[in-house]
Amino acid sequence: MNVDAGARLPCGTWLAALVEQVADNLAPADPEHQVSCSHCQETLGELEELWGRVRELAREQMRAPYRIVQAVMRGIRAQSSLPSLPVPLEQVVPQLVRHALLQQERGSTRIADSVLARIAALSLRDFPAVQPSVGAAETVRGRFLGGTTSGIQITVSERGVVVELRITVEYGLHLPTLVEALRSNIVERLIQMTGLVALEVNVLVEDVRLPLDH
Amino acid sequence: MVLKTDDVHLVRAAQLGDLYAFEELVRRHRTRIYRIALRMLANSPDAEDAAQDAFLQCWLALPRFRAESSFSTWLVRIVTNRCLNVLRSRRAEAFAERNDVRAAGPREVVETHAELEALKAALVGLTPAQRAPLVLREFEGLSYEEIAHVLEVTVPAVKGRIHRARLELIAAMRQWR
Repeated sequence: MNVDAGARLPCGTWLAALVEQVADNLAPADPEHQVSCSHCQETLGELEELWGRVRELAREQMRAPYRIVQAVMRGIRAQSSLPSLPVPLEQVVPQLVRHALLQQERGSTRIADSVLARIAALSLRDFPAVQPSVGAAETVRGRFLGGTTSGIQITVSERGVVVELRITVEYGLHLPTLVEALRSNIVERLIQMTGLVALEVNVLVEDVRLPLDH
Repeated sequence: MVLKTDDVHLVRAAQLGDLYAFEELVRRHRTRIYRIALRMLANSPDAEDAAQDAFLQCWLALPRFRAESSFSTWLVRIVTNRCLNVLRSRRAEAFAERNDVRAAGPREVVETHAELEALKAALVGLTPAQRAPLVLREFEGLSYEEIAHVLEVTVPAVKGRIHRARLELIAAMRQWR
């Protein structure tokens, strides 16, 4: 088979027409000639066989690694640089840092909300199937806090500590059971490290992902 | 029943700065974009880089996206151009690779999947101008019109390039029979 561009078969048929017919799955331009012509039949047979490999390659299953998604989102968050805000007030006046207050015998102990959030965040590490969610708003806040408390919000009122948590969970797990275990773990860690009892640990399961995605 | 939010809604939300929406778009389109990059660049680390760069570029250009074409086609355009740039910048090495491929004999290719490996090698041998439309046609199933739109050339030009690319592949594959 002569495969030069513009080549013709001995019967006069353009090779280009046959290639297009096979590759684009078209009906023959001249079916009557084609069916009876040995040159056309031979060439078509060979082209079908060769082009079958291209089709096979096209059918090859692939899945882009999930780290592409992570890398992209990391890149975007790094780019959306912090606006030139004035220095946050709490950095100037430490007493203004939001905190939980413990009155102890020989003085007061303040534990910053960010510390409580970090404790909650670290306690999540005991659950490999759970990831805290990361959102645009948290990015800014998360940077001040060191970036590890995304998806976690702490509110300290007179009544006590409330933890708000947004998470992504691996597909297939029983969510109420998992969340309850998570909740107990956070409460225990907080008591263990601060003596504070969390009144509520409110969990929003925002997304489920296939284990493959991680 | 699985209800999937339309790309259109996600794109609109992402344009307003919703990173979750954009992340979902990346999740949805990553395999296609990565596959194009892999067929264009023929190695996975470069393909991953190109896919990431394409999505980042997409995010930066998103405020200017006017939905004249579908988001998907727009992304395909970005990644294709990204890959063409990569190929252009490594033209010297690509040239060397091409010569290597031509020099390698059939026996050097592992027996299993030898035919597909030969085809991949033949793809690497195509010029970028031929490879891009061929990849979009044969592996992504785009129409000639869509390819013309992506590459910003005329439909006859696309047809001509794809035809020459097909003949090159056929000639290369015949050597390995």
